[in-house]
Amino acid sequence: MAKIACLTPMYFSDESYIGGGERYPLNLSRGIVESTGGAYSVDLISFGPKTRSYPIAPGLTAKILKAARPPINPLDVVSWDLPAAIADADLIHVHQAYTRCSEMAYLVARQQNKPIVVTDHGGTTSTLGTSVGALELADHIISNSKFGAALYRTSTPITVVKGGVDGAHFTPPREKVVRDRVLFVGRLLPHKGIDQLITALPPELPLTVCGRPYEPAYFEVLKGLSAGKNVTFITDADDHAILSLYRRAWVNVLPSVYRDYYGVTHLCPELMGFTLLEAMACGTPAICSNVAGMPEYVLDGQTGYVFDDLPTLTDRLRRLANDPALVERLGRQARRQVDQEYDFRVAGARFVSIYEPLITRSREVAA
Amino acid sequence: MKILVLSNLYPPDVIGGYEQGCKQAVDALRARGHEVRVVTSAPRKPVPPESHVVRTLQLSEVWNEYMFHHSSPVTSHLVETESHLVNAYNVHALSREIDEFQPDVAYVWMIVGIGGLGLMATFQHLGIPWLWHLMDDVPLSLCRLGGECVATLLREVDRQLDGRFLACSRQLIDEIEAGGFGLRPDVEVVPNWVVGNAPPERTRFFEPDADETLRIVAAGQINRNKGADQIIETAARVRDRGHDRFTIEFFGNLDDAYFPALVKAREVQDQVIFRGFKPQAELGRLFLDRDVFFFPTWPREPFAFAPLEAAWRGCVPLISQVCGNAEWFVHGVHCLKAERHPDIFADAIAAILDGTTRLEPIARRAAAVIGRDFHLDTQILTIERSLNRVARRGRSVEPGTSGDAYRMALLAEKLTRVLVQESLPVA
Repeated sequence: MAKIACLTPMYFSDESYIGGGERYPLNLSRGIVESTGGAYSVDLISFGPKTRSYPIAPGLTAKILKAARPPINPLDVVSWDLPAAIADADLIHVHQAYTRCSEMAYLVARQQNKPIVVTDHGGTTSTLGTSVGALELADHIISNSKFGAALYRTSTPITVVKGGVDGAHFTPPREKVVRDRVLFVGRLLPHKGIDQLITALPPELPLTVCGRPYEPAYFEVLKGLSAGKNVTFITDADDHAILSLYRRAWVNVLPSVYRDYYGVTHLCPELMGFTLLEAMACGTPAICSNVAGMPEYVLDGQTGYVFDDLPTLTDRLRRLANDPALVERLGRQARRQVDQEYDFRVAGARFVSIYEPLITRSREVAA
Repeated sequence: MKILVLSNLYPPDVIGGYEQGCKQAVDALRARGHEVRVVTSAPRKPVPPESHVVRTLQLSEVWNEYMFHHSSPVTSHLVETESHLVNAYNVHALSREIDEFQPDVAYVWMIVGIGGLGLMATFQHLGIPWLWHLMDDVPLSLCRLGGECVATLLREVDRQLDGRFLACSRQLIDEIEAGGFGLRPDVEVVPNWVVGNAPPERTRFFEPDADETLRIVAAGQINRNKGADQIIETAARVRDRGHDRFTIEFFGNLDDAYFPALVKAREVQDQVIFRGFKPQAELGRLFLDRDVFFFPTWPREPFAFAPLEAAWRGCVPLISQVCGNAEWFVHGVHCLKAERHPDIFADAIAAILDGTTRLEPIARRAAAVIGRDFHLDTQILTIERSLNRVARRGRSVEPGTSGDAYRMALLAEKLTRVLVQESLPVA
């Protein structure tokens, strides 16, 4: 038996934030519990206006700690209750590597002689830790892509563990459905490159853009680019609606960019691309730009396509829209890939194989 | 044993008896053959070098009221956090000394002013067993910021600190525990002490019928906590009862004009005299020629050295009924105790002046018991035994590294600075 304290500055909920960086810790926590048949339990620790605790699933408990005070950036949240919250954990897994929240966690966990594992999700808000080499305090780093692994500057060992999607929830349709659209699922933010997708969209193909518009000005840009094209925006879809959209799409596209519509550069626009995996789990092919960690997940020509330019994207969209057999074949292979590698139970088991020697050693030293 | 001693200040750079006591204990341990290295702060004034004393730590002078009150709120808060919580430079300096000296045990004294919590965390990270000698409520002080105890910080410090303690009085233990920091069962009481050869036996005692003047002395910090106002008010009460054959001499630095003003206001200039600071040795000689050591200190007093020094020389302590010193001595047998009120103290002095209370038997018994039970030659055996017991735990099998300790201190210091500055309203 072992207990993992999984720390995330924000948690996947309407009360906190809905993003891949928040869904990932939740999914992997479930993966750890389920892959060990309950031999491991997880406290998913995050922050809010008041302290509370509630069960998410057997062996998985949410512990929301009262934030010391609202930080300027929500990822910089800290709580006086963190030391006590991790006191009975055998290991602490810190999600987000470069925030004040994570820096505090390195200190608190190391002071309590807890093994520390870190996974970054690209949310850099503080360089205090970097300036003192804080990652050296960690015992192991788990990256969800080789691209992400290459960004770490530390001598701490790094292992790439891909995936983290719920393959039991995101499944292919049981019955035949009519696939009738190109799909984008994600937050409507400039670095997602949705403007590129709309630009490349052939006028005869329908596109559904599903996600919350976090930047109103960019949302207006997207609506402007959609003029004369068959683009539908859905901004309030729940999990059930998203599942249905994945199943009814020819393809799910994640066209994230290094340089966005406004000319702003993003060094790490996608470490993984969660929605690509969700679509693949539903037996839907994926298309991604040749950017950051995404090409490691989409096997070009096998589970979807990777594009370098917009004409190629346009071509791939037309090809899939007009070839149901190709969609079927790529989708089937995508699902197989998820089952073999990207499901959170598979990833969770790999996490545990990294945790286990660290916990054993820590217990030996303590004894 | 190889003993690394940690103290914020070290004689001749001192604030009070805590640092003096540290040096006396160090000298005694060295005399008993132990290898001792003292790590302390760079002195506030030049001092002669000593081979076993490393004066490299930075001191955040939270006691320097002038500097503290002439700083911006942000600066004051930062100085306080550096004093109490963490000073990365000091963690680095201490780690280096530990690596170089390889102590069997750390013997901790007063650590406010040098980032005390960070230094304790350093000992623990490096697996050094420690013994903390408490002559004040230091664990609580370290968790106080802006005058308020940070309860969650104290709770965590209490939970994580793993060592043993010596405390100079049960009252101090009770006070620290009431404040939320648990000491029992890892604490042992070691009363404060006197040092050196026994003073010459006293032959002259106050005789009320001999038309003598009762010579009362007070020594130490002249402030309200130590009862300076109580002394002046008591003098006025005694005088108002018709007694004028007494004097009260103050020895200590006078930094507050309030007290001379109070002397003037109560018209006791003939009775109450400020004599200025005197070194300890000179005070010892003075005590031989004084009748009463007046110490109307506050209830928080852990256990002052000066009343012991005085009593050893036949100068009878008149002390507050509730204070650390009071728990060790019996009223009317080894000292005089009174409720902390000028009227009650005046009753006690009047009783001496009119012969109701005879000083000689009290003075003789007090001198005897202090020379026997409160001499450092006796206490050092307990201290040495405790150090041995702690040292036997040995260092951790796989302690952390100095590099990590320093890295954590840097991170903690930077985080603290940012959080403190963000928490204060913009001017």
